[in-house]
Amino acid sequence: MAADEELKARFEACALPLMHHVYTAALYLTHDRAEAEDLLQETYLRAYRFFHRFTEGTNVKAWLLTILYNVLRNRYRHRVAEQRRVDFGPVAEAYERIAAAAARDDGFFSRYVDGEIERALGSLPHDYRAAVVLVDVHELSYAEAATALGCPVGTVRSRLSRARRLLQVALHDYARQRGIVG
Amino acid sequence: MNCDTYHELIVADLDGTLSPSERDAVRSHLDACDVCRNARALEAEFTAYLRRRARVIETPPSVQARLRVALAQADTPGRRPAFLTALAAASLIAAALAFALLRPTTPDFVRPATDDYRLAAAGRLALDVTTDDPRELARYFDGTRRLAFPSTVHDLTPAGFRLKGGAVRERGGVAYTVSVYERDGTLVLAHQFHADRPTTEETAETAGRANEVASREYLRADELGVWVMRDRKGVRCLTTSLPAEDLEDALSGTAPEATS
Repeated sequence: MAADEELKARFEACALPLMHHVYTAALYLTHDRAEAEDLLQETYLRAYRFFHRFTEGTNVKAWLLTILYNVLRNRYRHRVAEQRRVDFGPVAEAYERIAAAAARDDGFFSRYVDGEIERALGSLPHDYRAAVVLVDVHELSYAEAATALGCPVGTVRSRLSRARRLLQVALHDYARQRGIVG
Repeated sequence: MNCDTYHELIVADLDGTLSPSERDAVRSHLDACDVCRNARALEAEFTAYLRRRARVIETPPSVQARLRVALAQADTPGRRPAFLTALAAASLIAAALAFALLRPTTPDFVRPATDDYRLAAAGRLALDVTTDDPRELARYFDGTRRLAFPSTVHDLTPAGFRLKGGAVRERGGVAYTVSVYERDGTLVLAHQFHADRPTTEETAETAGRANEVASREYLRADELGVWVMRDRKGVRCLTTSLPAEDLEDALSGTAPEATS
């Protein structure tokens, strides 16, 4: 049917070029290539099925990433639920020390090596990781990220703040393990 | 407001998402607070660093090809043949039923694992047997006749972890095993628990693949990393203070597990 063909062509033109974003988010969120591929497929099949409901002119990337996160949440509900809270007090203190050291030191970030950022992202609690991946990697707005994560904007904000501090403390720990910083 | 709250505002400000009044509040706090001034300088640099480094990864060509095939075979958007809808409804009901029947009692395997780790790290976990031979330990475990599963003991020597020994312990009247490994003062604890029923994923994913690990998940608990593996034989946890990837690297090079 002509209308179907048109819808299909439109989906291919606007959703398929964003495949790398969906794949990257899936990879960051699961840390597993096979799972990431599986999530990519399911996200696109779902997006395709519901494409007639997509509102023209809104952010396709945010829409796809929202579907991805829903798929992920449905699959791994138990994993997200079993997550324990991070005791943030020591992290906040360690972060303050890092910030003070960075203020005295210009080449601060040159000590971190390739791959460690991925490793640090992988060490974050799931919710925090998702916020960073959506906002910092995929450049979603806070409001778009809140929609994708199904939480208020204020929660995105606090997760990002904590996630960035956790990341920096983790990166600093890696550098210390390599004997680069004291 | 304390500095913890200001950190949120500092990050949001750098991301350009603050209201004018919030922005004024941050600016006047920064004038007065060294800690937050340092944090803002660090965040500005870190955000740039993070966005430069955490790149969008290209989808491998083979994955792209499989996606295109799957899409080509998919139904037209918004339309599904009537029999498919009926089929979908039937499978949904079947899935709901299976879930209700097979939902595991969700025993908390993580808590005993991390508790034992804390004990071991403090040198207070009593070992029934001291040995570096996985087979000998598995023989001991099975010989106690207290377990509801055949024991398996990993050989982690290829990853540099030496077996120290193990114990049969109890939680809520149910026996489980713990094996302790060490490499340069870093501990790995392996636990094996009995799963009363297969989980839904197991029934869905492992029909005919009884010996494969049905599901594997990584959890953070009490600052420790716990790999939880479920298969037909039960639930096994590996607990360590090492980051996830280190443990995974360690495991990828390991020899097959020993059974008695």
